[in-house]
Amino acid sequence: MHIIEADRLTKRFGKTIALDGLSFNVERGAILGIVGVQGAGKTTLLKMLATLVAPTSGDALVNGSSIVRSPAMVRHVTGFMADHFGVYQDMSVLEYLEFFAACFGIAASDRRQVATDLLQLVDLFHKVNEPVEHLSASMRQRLGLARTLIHDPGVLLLDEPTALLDPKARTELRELIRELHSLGKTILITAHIVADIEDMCSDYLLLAHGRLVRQGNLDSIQTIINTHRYISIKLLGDIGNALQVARSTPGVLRAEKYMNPYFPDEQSGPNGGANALATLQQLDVLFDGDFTAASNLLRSLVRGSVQIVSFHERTDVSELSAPAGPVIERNEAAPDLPAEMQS
Amino acid sequence: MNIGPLATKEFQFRMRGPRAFSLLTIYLGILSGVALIMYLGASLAFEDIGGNRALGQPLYWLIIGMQVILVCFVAPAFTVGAISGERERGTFDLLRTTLLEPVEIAGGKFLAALGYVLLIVGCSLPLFGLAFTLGGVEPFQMVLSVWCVCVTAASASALGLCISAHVRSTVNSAVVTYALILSILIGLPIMVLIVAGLLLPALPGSSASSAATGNELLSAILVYVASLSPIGVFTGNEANYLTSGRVWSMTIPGSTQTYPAPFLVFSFGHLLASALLFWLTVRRLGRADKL
Repeated sequence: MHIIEADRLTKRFGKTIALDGLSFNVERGAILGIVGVQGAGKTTLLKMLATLVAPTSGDALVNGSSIVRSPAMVRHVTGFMADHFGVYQDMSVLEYLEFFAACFGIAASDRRQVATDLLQLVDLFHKVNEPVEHLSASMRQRLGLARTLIHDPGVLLLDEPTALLDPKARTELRELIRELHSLGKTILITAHIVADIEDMCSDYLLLAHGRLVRQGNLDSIQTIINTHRYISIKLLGDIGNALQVARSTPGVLRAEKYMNPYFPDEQSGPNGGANALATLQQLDVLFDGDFTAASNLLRSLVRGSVQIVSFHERTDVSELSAPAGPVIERNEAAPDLPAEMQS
Repeated sequence: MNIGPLATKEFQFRMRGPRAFSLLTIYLGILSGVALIMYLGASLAFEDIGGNRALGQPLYWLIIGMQVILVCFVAPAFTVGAISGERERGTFDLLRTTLLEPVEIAGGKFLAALGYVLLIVGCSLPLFGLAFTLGGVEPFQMVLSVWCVCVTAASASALGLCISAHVRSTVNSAVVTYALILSILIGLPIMVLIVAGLLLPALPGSSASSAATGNELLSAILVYVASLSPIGVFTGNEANYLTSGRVWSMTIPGSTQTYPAPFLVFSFGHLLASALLFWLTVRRLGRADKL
């Protein structure tokens, strides 16, 4: 059953087309990743579904309510968290949530209970009386998520929630989002780095220049995102050999030793490579190829006696340089895709 | 309508910390300081100051005049950043995703600002006791004046709120709002004086009586236009009361025809303008993609 049904959503800001006839459906209980470069229309789409931006044409039904005709009904069932959001000064964490609880019409007698429950959920209960402006970026994001949940919406619209967070905080927030998903929430989450959300999402929308390029699973969108793959390889021993093998593999455009900006001297190991931990090296490879090519690269490295510890591909949509692509329905072929987007 | 959460939050956090009380102290300090200086000056000039009606009225005038000017500057200070400030802080979208409707957001902001200004006005009321002690001031004069101060506070707050909703930055909002307030407060009476000086003596007429009627009508119109300024309405009301002894109506000198008193026109004009400005604010907040 579809909880969101978007029908030819279009948004123009003057001569700029932010969204161009976007149609898609979202299953109830899904985590949908919306990916695309900056300016692809991800934020506009979320704001539109949150009724903050009115479509120039088209409409979307959220839980059966139109974002054009019944925005108030849509706000009942959606919770929106912007990528950057402010906080009120001189307000404690508890007061902040209680204020928004009041704005959502929650009875005064229930507000404190709702707020404290949510603070426990996002692990901020120990900061209950802390002024909001004193919270770290990670805590603010979690507080923002708690605010988004204050009226118990069925659909969460999260705009790049992990963008400003450090790796640890990203992991924590991802776990929190998974927990919310297990509570039955439908979650739409945007990112321009797919790796940030790839272990969470069941489905993806790939946008370019306001148009839907593809809706499907991760493999499905990775075949079009970019033929340039970024692979981080951690290895033990002689990185020179690994570099040589990688550079001689067909399709490899660039292979470089990763330099840790914080500990540049560690790269060669303090004891000339005697310590195995100290000789853990990282090789970053950029190459032009598909999954098979990635597999071939790994095989070449193993055959070249490179002691691989990990082989990790990261998908970065910021490299997506596609011009406006055609609208492609879910799981259909892409006959007219621009060359640089075809796998 | 759910104005409560926003109005409560605004009022509660405005009263938290030293700022609100500092402003109240400064406001009352200026008013009472001026009144005290005048009282002490008069006590040196007159031996028996008690019951001096000649001093009571000027003192009342001074207090109410200061009150009007202060309210014109204090009231918009709480609304010029009401919407633009939310936008600058990045909190406006958070409000708009709640169940609060535009009218509730605008209403909450407006009521919180007006409530604080009315609190300041209320706190200054005991100062009028000094004028009453000296005599020469009727209670209804004070009621009328305080009513006009409250109407001024409402329209100045509504103007600040409306500009704040239409302008992106709080600085720009403040500049535009105070420019408009100064034009109404001072510019309007000056303009009326200039127009009266140019037109009234030279009004053409086919006969002496029609010229007199034309003069009378023009005079009434000019009085009403000037009365749209808070300074103009106090001057008009007092002049009317002193010359005709009327409260609800006025007469033009040399005529028996009566017209509605200046404060009625002022109240009608300012309350209507406040309602219009509030509607424009709500309309602006309702246009999602324009914000």
